[in-house]
Amino acid sequence: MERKLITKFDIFLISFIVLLTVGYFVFRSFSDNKAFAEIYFDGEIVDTVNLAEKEEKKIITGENSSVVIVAKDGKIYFEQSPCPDKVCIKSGKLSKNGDFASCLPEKVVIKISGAEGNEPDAIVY
Amino acid sequence: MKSNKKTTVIVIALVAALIIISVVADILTKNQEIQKTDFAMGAVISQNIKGKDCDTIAEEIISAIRERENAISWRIESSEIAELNENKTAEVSGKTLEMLKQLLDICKNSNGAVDLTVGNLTGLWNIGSENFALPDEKEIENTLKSVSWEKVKIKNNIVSISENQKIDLGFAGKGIACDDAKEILKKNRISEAIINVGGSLCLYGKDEFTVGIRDPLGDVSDYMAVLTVGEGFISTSGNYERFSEYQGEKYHHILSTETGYPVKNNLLSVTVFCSSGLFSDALSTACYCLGYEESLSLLEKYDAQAVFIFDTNEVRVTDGLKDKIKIENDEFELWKEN
Repeated sequence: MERKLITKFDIFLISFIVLLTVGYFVFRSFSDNKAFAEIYFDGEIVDTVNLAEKEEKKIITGENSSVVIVAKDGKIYFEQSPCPDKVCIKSGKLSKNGDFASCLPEKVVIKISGAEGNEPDAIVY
Repeated sequence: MKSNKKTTVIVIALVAALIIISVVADILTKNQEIQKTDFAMGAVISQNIKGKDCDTIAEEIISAIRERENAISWRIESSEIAELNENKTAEVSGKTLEMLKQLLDICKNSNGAVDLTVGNLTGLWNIGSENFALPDEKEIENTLKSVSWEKVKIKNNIVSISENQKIDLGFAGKGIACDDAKEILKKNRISEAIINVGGSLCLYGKDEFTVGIRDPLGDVSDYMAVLTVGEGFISTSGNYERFSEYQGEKYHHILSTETGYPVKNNLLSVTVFCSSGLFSDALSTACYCLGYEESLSLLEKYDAQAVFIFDTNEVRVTDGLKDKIKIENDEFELWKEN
């Protein structure tokens, strides 16, 4: 058998891995804009989080920046709050359109809205 | 045959390593992102920062904004501006001095459409307060006489105002906070950030940001058009922002330095984009007061672009934004030139 630097099998394997990677990045760019969460503080919208983003995201808000909200794996939830009753944390993880959780003592509300493509980066008012 | 296998293994290992590194790098850089909300300057401040150590930088920005507030808010007794209002003369810090000079520059160039000595007039109206009452006509007339930026005198670090004057920087405070934020972002080599101080934005680190312009007739999160702009500062002044109602009549917070009453014209809001937070904020107020035609030369002076929304739902934009705006709410339409 003749000696080759790279065999057909190598080429097959390399292309397989490359395809997998390309697939990962393509999937990531298409997985955007499905559902998003709106976070309100004191009645005003302070943040919009795209729940389709794979990466974990922390949002810090509340009266003294002491409420921690975490968005992870398509879900969003209150992780920390100084409120006495912890109703907000007990509300659990939100992911579906219309889901709603609030921390009244800290005036923070999370609301899930459905798909709305191409939201602007920010709103000026 | 043996060495053949070896090459296979090496090549595969190399390619795999490369791919793992790129994916890990991608995930790591993505993860360094923070969204943080605070309350300062009487406004909600939300920060969205991407880059190394973004959480410490967000902290640094909020303390810089608080520090600025403690120096320039007339509401804070120990502030330099409160001292100036109280004693009519005060020695101010270099930072405050530089800011006052920029503000006087725009007071002058806008022919007093914005005026930093408006304090007694805004105090008299106190729009947005719980027990708002329409001020007496005579009183408005008298107070209006105190509004005159020309009477502000600066000598070295000593600033003085007239006996009957008070400084109120409400027309530029949020923009000034945006400038402070940018300084910190730049110093720390942050890759990308949006800092929102009560609706005034600092856009940093990208060639293209999409910014929704609040629908003046809609709810807080509604926008009527989207602008695509680069790095810079953007601010809106509108009659919907803060107002009081009295005997069925609405009084909004943008006071005319000519009449002493809330500005009455055909505008719903003005949005200004430029390379300074202070000027974008002050210009949006000035242009709202001046109206479209008179604003154009002022905007040019500061190399600024603007979007004017009229009560007829028509939208006029300056030349630099003509192909950067997209109307999203079909109740509004772009001005058609004859």
